[in-house]
Amino acid sequence: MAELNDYSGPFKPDLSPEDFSKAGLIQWLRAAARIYGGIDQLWHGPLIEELGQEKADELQMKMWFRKGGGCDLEVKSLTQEMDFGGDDVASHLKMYQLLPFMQLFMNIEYDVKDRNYALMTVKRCAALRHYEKTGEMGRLLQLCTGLEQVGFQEGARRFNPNMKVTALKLPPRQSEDDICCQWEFKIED
Amino acid sequence: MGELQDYSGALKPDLKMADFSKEALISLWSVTGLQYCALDGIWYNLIRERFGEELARELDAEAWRRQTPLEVRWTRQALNIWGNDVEAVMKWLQVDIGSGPVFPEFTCELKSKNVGVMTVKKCRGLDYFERHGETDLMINSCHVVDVEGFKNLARMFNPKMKCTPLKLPPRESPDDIACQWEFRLED
Repeated sequence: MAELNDYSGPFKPDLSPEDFSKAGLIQWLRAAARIYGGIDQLWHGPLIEELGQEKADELQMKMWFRKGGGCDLEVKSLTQEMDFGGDDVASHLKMYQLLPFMQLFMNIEYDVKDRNYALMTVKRCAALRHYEKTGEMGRLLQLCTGLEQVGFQEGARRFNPNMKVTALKLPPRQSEDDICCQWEFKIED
Repeated sequence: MGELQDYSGALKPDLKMADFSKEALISLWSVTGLQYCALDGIWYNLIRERFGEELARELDAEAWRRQTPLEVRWTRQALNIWGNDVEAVMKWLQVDIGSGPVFPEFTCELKSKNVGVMTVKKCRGLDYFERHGETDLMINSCHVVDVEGFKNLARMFNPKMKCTPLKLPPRESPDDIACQWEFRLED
């Protein structure tokens, strides 16, 4: 049987993921990325309503970065499943390339100078576009300058405790032609 | 360059999903599904520790109430699954991110044009509840959140469609099925 590019055809009782073509699987992964990308906000949003912004933000940080939290979960599950590791900057950046939301909804340039230094430039970001459209600048800043800034550093630390992440450029931006953000990854002796 | 079976090789600055083999893409999809369900569990446990069971349950139910329509819509769009009959629901259940990665063994059967049954033989969620003795959490998750979620799911496809649990945990033995759900379109 020909590979499926989608599932518009008849019900297949013994359907398995292998039945899909690569294009079909990437489409499938795209849906998964959107769904996974939203679950954190679905807890954080009602928490803001229930406890206020400050408390909700504090809990969100705890959820991601405490031992056994979301950051550990992402690093451990992705490195195991996709079989990579290492303590250099490139090994760490592989993780961002494998996070489906970052891969499929962002346009990112990776410039690895050597094992100790790299730049990551985000040229297109679906989340930034969303908040620019809705004008929710408070949420945007909380995400980019709060959660993500801590997140990149925490993620890096799990690969190498001496890796330091610095935001070289953060939103808001002046024009849609500007880059979204830029990050420096550096291992210090 | 051949297709990547995993990402053990050197960093590829211009990596695209299409560089991976089908097997690697399926692994990535499975791991995303597991992360999705695990992240919900991490949120749940954190709120439970800080504020108690009641608020954790309330927020969990609210999160899924808001999430289910998005999960349905995005997956239907991505895989072009349309229609408002039982067949469409069965197809959606087969490919939902909350099914395959969480249920290592499950089947969807179309008994007739208007009746379909999903049988979950193995469920990582139930395994977790049983392993940790979390009976109350299991009852809340399977009897409250899932029952409401599947009923809403049926209605999202067709207001005349009903979902009834035919079997729910707890189970007598780990060899028993985890749960079973009937979707029926009424005239």
